[in-house]
Amino acid sequence: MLKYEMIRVDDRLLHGQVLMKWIKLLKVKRVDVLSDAFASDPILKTLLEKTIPDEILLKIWSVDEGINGIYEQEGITLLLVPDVDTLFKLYENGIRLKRVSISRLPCEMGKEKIYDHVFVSREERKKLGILLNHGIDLRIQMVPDSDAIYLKDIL
Amino acid sequence: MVGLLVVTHGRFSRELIKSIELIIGHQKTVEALTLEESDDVNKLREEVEKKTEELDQGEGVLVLVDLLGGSPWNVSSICTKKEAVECVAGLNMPMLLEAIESRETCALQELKQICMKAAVEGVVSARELFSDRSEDSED
Repeated sequence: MLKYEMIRVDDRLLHGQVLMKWIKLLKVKRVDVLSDAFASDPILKTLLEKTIPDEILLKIWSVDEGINGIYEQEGITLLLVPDVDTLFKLYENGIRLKRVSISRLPCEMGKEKIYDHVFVSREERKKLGILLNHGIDLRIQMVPDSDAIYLKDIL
Repeated sequence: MVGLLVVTHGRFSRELIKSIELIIGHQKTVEALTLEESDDVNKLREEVEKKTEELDQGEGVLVLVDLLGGSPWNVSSICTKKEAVECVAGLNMPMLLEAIESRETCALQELKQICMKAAVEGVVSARELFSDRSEDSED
């Protein structure tokens, strides 16, 4: 089964902060992206595959494929998911969540700000609450050198 | 004339244009887009798409971005699915200067190539450059 160093919740998925900071800090040799939008669009998929440094293995999964794939793959990865719904789906499918880092969830209609650059809907707030109640460590952290905010303290 | 769009993290794009204006005077027709920490990346994607269409006067658009793999790159590089758009990462002052200077005389493909060359050739170590010179003068 695939082990992961961190699950990152970030609508931008793979971008500057992840490439320049997180991959280096976590010393992972692979990155797994769970995103229906990216998995179903060959251009977006190619974009990510061509952008990642050669020494890093990148796998882009649809959410359902990825959840099964995690059991079948080997190695240590950084797991990137775009939103709270995908994170919750991992939990519902029995994947043990640890070291979950929330980076940025953009402001949209009907979403409420819980921290700088982090906006959640009522439904998402409920899901995060369930995860917290099950003792899952949820933090908001942009880059490794910024302070981690514990979600249990602010939600 | 090839359209020019600069897309970066933070105000780098705007400020770089201002810096270049100190050297070659006011530039009206270079467009800049910025991505701030609180900005929605999807909105930037829409802006880049809109701008690349607006700036195309028939000779295409060159989009210059700051960092390979960053969000400005992610949203801009996708636009190259259109033939009329090229995108280059690794923005620096020599690159943008070259783009501004040559956009009226070069077609899009050639402009892209010379901008990439200018960016690399603009990276120089003073010590290495000066030691080359002193070796030359000894010949």
